[in-house]
Amino acid sequence: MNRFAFLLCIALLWGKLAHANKISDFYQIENVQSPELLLQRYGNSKGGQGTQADGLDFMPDGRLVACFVGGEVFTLNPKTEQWKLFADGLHTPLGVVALNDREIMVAQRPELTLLKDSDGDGVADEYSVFSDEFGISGNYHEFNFGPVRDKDGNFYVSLGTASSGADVRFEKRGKFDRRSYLQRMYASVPYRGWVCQVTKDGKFIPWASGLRTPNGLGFDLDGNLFVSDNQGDWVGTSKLHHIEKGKFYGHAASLIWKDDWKHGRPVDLAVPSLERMRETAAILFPHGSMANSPTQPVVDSTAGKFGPFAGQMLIGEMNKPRIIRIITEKVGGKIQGACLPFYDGNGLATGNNRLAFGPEGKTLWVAHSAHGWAGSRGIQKIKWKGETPPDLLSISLTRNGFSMRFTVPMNRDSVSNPDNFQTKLYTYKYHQGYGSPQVSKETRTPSMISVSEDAKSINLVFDEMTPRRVYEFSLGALSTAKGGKLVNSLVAYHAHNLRN
Amino acid sequence: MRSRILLFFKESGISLSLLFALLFFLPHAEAKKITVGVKPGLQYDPKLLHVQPGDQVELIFDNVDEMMHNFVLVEPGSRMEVVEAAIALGAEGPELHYVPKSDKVIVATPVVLPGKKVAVEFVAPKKEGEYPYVCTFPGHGFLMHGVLFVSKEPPKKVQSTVEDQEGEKSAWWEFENQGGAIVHRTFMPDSTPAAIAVHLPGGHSYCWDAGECRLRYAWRDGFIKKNGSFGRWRTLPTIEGRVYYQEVAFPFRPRGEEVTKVRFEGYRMIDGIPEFRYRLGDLKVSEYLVKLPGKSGLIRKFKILGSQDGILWSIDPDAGVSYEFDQGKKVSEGWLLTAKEAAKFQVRMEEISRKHPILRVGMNDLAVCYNRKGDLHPGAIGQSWMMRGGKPIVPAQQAGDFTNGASLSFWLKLTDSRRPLSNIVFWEKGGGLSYQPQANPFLFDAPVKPFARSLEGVFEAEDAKFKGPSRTKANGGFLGSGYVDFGSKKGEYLEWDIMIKQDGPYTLRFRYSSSGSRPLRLSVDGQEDLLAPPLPFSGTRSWDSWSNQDHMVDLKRGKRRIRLTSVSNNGPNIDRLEVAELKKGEEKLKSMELPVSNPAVDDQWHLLCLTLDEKTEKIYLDGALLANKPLKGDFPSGKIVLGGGKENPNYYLDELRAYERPLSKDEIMRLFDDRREVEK
Repeated sequence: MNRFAFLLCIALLWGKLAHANKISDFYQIENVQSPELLLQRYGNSKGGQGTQADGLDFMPDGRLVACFVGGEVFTLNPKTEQWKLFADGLHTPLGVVALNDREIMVAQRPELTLLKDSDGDGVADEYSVFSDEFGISGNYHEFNFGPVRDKDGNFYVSLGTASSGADVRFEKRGKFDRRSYLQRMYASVPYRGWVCQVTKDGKFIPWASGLRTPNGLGFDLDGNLFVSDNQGDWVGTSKLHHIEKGKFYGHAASLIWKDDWKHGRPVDLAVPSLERMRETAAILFPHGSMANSPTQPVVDSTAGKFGPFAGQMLIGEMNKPRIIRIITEKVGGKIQGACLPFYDGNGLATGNNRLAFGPEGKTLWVAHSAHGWAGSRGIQKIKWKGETPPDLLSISLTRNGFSMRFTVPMNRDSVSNPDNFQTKLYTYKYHQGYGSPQVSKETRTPSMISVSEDAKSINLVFDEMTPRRVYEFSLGALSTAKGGKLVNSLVAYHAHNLRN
Repeated sequence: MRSRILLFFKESGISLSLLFALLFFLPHAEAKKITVGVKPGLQYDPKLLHVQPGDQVELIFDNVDEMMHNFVLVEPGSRMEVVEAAIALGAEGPELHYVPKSDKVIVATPVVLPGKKVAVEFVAPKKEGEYPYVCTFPGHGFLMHGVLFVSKEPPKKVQSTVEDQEGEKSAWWEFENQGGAIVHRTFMPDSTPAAIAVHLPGGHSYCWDAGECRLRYAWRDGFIKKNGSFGRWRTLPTIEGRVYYQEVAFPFRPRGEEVTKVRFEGYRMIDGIPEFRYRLGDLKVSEYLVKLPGKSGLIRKFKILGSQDGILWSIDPDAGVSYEFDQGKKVSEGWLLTAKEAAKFQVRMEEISRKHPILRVGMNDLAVCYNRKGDLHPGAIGQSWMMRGGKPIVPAQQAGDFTNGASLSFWLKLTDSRRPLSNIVFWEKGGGLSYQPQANPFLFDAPVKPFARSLEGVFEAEDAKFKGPSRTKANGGFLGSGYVDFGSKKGEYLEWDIMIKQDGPYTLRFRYSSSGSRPLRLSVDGQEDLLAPPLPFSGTRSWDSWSNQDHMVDLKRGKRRIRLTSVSNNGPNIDRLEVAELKKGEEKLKSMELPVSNPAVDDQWHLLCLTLDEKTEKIYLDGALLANKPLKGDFPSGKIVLGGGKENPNYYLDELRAYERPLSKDEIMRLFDDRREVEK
């Protein structure tokens, strides 16, 4: 009897645990040993600060390429699991693209640099300037992000603005312009706050302006370029922009570097006139609840080897132990969509700065860093175990509401209850001030819900839809047909446009 | 099996003929056979050998390691020189098996591939001594070496001899220095932000500026301290060691042309040492720097392609090094190289002892010793630092040796030439330069009479806390660096925190200007005398005519907060607050006027130089001798410190240099001309 009760308890507990549906039940996370040399160089005392990693890619021969905060580029041989120093002494490298087994493109403070191992010994012996046609004022905050490479072989980098918490150096590289100087984040030398294209033959083309700290570039499967930006002045909450040539994305400082700029100090322009020039974001990440510093977007190009979210983008987050999923669609000619957590906690560290899928498509590699802000260090890898996590698969705007699809059949009662889909509507101010509270806040409940036959899709109808709003849903009350919870509950859709 | 045998030998122990000869091995009946292997971690096995003077030696070098090595036996005490000379071979190294042509080399093997062995036969030196052997393969020579004892008696205690040769290692860059150079891209002082710091094998370092495509400066005895964590790198690194070379401008130009446009193309590593590549106009240039073997200095190897009429190198007499070119000829403007010569030439730069300042602070940027935002201002040359009293500032510096004389040179700009400045720049031991508003305005190692001893203090309005009024210098006649202009709102205030040493009656004297009466209410520690009317601040003749508003008050010991608040929609201009203790029986402060006796300097930039030789102390103002006195006492010593004296008013400093020798009059004139150059 006792023994039976005990077994029953185990069974019940087991059932309960299974229904808690942790993301780590479906994905396995593993720490990657850091290069020994970094621990030797910088010591392990302060938690191995030198192992902060800021760039990941793979060579065709399968070697992982990673760059680190102290300026090192290492390769990791997948067979021997040995790290090898490929290049050294770079100035804050923040991204790598492996062009082949011997060449790596890296963005560092002074330039976009082509590292070449010309004799094939696995160590770079040539450090060639690929492009340096932008300014450096010496302000510590002028980070250079990227590079990423498009299908045609062209590169993109984004150039961070300077912090008003620090000055410029007396000697600078590039023309210095006081019209954008010390007013919050500033762009006193050329193309700060811009995304720039560097063609495959090295031609530098200023591509799009209006970015603040655009720490993360990536493409979707259609080759659209996305760049994240960090909450701060002019940026009410962190964003993901769909970048198109010639457009301005809202942070005023960079405008002085437009060819035809004749308006003096950008900060003196009235907000409405900036608003008219501005292209709005594709995705808004609610500050605090979703992300404070989103990083690099990377598309799940694994065609299902990494789980059910193929074709969607993943993006890291610095402040939280979180990787976020991005679901986009085109509405009224504009790419917009939703963000929701993909992997939260459960062994994941903070400072998720760079992401890359392994060549076999089953593993997502994550490089962690902090740079003096919130974050951590080292490299982790995440593998799908093969079971489908119960989660929101997709969300799409309809003419009068949203359709949602889940990865698993849902409990019909829970998805038919309008109270479970009460949505918070809000937006953010566009102004020079630092960040923005949520404004125009209201709450709406769907007037009608229809559920598909397979209980995986639902259609939410609202009496009224308002454009230019974030629609935030909390799906914590939903349960699956098997009685478990979804692994994530928060989703925020940025409905800039409505469907006609 | 030996595949080939190379024999290098030295004739008669004096002159050398280095022979790369392929010979058949002929066993020698009397040859002493020695085998040397390799242990992991760049070590010979064994590290010590012994032979008799004049022995016939057959040495087998068995490279059981995974890397390539050679074995080079050198003259006593010349290991580092040979190692550095091997590195200096650069691209020619592999061809010569990294064995430099030097009379210090006694015998050498070629580079031996991993797993191979080679034998050499030689006659041991006749002179007894400790002969180092070393692997001159790039990067190995600092670790991989041993000693051949040539002596009749076998040495007794030998094991520790080799191991103690390397000193303690502590700095982050030191343990790295096993391969080639350390190339570290980082922000560096006195460079554009696209700087490259390089630490060469042999211990010398330099800053190469990728923004301007040129060497900026070189130093010895260390590398850099990064002054930050992996945080936000707000602070510039400091140089650890002694700068002995500074390049003030681009060093050469195509003959007959003014080309300034440069384009950096990157660098490639040759045996672990960077070769920089760039374009100067249409010229294609590469520069490769190595340490000057056996001496303090650098060899710079250039390849300049595409010049039509050759290039002209300008020689800077103040650069701190002597130049020696292997090509070209001296002309009046500098050094001339034909197009053919420019295609491949080298410049040897050897440090001239004590030539370069032991300390030079350009003050164009903030530094780790002085990192207060807002204290950078336009300078005599570039930017300057505003010194605000407080703690003295000690720039990072190597200990100087001033026993052969000393000099200081700096640009100074006063904000109030009527007030003295004590210890503007000084040595920790042995005094500094001070200013007093008198006919002999600058003094060395002598106290200046502090300003108005009877006063508790003088407090500038422009340094005080205020809300509403604005800081300005629009109208003349103010003291200090400006004054405070009350605006058009009621309730604007200006507030000083002052220290009172003892309880008692005091006079508060406000220096002000006003058109018509513009009263302000006075409060002490937030308390105001509600019955008393506000202080009248009656009209002065004009806005640039200043008067004093006195007020007597009892003050308690400790920190007191004095505040003036506007009572209507206007107020006067306030220049400063003077606080004076009233002596017993004194009802009113009689005279507190400032000591003014025609100050010799105005509030513009002036170059001040002090030179000390064995006999005399000389002070120069703007290149002209101002004072010439016999030197009292010893030479100064210790670190150079800026800005002593809490009572000093604010002043600006620029381009500080400290030398371990007296400067010549010509050098002082050139320092003075630097500013004119900049102004042009």
